[in-house]
Amino acid sequence: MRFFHFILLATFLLFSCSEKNDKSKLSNDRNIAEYATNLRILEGTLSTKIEILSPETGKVEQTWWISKDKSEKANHIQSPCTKMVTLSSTHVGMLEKLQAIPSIVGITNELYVYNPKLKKRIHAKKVIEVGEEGQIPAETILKSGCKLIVYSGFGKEFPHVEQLKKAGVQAIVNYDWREIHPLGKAEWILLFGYLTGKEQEAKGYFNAVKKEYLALKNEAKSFESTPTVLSGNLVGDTWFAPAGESFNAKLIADANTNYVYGSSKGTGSLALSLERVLTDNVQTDFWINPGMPTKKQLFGFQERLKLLGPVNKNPIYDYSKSGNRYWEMSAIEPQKVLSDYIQIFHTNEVKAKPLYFYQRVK
Amino acid sequence: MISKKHSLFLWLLLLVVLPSAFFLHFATGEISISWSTFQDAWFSFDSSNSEHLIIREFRTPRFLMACLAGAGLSVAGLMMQTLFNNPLAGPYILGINSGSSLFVALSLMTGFTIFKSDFGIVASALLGAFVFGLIILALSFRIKNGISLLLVGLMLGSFSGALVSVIQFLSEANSLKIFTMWAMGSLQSVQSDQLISIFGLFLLGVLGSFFLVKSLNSLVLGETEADQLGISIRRVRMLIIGCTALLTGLVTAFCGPIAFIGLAVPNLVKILFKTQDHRILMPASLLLGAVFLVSCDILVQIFATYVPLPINAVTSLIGAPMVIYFILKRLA
Repeated sequence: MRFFHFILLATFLLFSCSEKNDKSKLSNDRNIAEYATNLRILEGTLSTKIEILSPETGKVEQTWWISKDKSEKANHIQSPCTKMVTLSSTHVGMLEKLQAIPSIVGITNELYVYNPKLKKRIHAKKVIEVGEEGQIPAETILKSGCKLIVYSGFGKEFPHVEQLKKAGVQAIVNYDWREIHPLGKAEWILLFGYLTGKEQEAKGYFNAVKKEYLALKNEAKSFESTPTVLSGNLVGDTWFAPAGESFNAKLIADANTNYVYGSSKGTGSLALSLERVLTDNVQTDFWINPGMPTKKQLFGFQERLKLLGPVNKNPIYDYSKSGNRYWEMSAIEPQKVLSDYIQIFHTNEVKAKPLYFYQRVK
Repeated sequence: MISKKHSLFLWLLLLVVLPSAFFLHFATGEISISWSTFQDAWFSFDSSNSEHLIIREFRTPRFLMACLAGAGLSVAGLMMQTLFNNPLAGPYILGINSGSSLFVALSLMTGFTIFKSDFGIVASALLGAFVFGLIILALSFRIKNGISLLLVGLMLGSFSGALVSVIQFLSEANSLKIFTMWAMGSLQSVQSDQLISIFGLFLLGVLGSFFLVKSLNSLVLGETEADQLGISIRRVRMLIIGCTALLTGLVTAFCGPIAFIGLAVPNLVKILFKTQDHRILMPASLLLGAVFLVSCDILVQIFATYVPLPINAVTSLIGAPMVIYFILKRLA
């Protein structure tokens, strides 16, 4: 009987301790991610809990505990992580803002890189090219010497994830590309902040971006004109335009414009026929993002694009001259994209300044 | 051989179906356009009217290209089937389209500046078809045996196909997307001002093919028999390959590789008319090819509101069950 009481007491103490321990970890138990819908950050005193939600189901897909201490737990990441493989351009942009480019040891392909520091490191063989996300051999990952892979998760789990876990390599999914609010996309810098041990810098940067973005949005609201805008380009026979609930549609709308397909459903792209686009855009004022930097290329590719309403009304603008810089930096600098849009769509209502990502198609 | 009455009925049917398909093709599409607007677009054109522009700049070139591509590929397929005495042969068997694919892949997905011309995909595809056409013509001059030539054509296709796969594997996403879209075929890329030159080249290829009807009829008996009838096999083979290369290259350059038509239509014509006489097979393939591709494009237009379908998928989805049906009917 005495032994039974001892077991009971020991069990009670064990559970009460662990509960207390959890509470101390999450004493500040609230999600600090404000705009990101697929990322939850719960700060604790000892560690931070990161939850990554599936964009499809909204349920938690991955849970990670990040702390400065070592742990043998399966889903624990020790920060700062100084060796990571990043598989998207946006990751590079976020790490650049945190002055953490040296923590990258692997990328998909140099072709997609703009960052001069990263390029130098690739040429110095400090960073290896691992190839496309779905086809990376496990050995290549191990060769990079990384402890962490940040991947985009295009609908499936990272290949060889179990083997890599055994080798001490964690694979964390980054759904920044599925965010529909420009600030939600930028907020994923917080994840990199915690991974690199620069969470304060990440918070500081994000708050500055948020402030600037919202100020620009408010400024745009005060303009009298609301020009109509067409976005997208023709690939084959299909015109791909941002759907009404997408990240790009939100950015265009925040510049106080009337996006032609703004009322359409969906967060991805609309696939439209050229006939439809021609008919819908007879009165449209602006066309952006045609995907080509010169009119010679644009109309050489498809002369009938000259028939589009906005072509003869206003200049066409595109980011393709920025190339990789746009893909690396636009997610983390949405305020600069918005600023470009305001300059383009409200030329007469705003003080002129040079465009950052965009250029006139000449 | 079918009866004269039956044959006449089939000819009448083909001749009636094509103009009907023309009206149906203009009537379908995402934007519904009235008959009076259609007439105005032709007889009192207003360039500021988007519906007029759609009729003149979109639907007309698209319809005419569907006719030319369907007819051209069917005639080319028929000639290949006769030349190699094989119903599985088609216009792409000599690897002409592989040449186009390779050059388009090189122009879209590599950093080689020589292929990054300002003339776009059409120029690259034409150049590829021309280069591979020349190669196969040169080889046909050297290789006497038809089967060996067929094998060489297949090898050329496999070789360039493998190169294209490597290029695709190393390519970045956007270029890969453009190439994939091109490879799915399209009748919408042709512009009205290009039609005259396309028609000129098409006429050259088709007239050349009609000029070969007698030789093709002799080839049906076999190369040895044709030789005994005084046909210069080497000369005829080169002319057939020349016409096929021209028609196939032309269609591939402007529409991408369109599958199935060149294989299915000549076989369908043979099943329907029950003859090996190219005086009948040639014009019937020409007409049925045009009707078939226009009909497929009508379906593409009808579905466009819900889902954009590539023409290549529709030709096979419609064509394959149709051929199976006719084969089963013939066996029954």
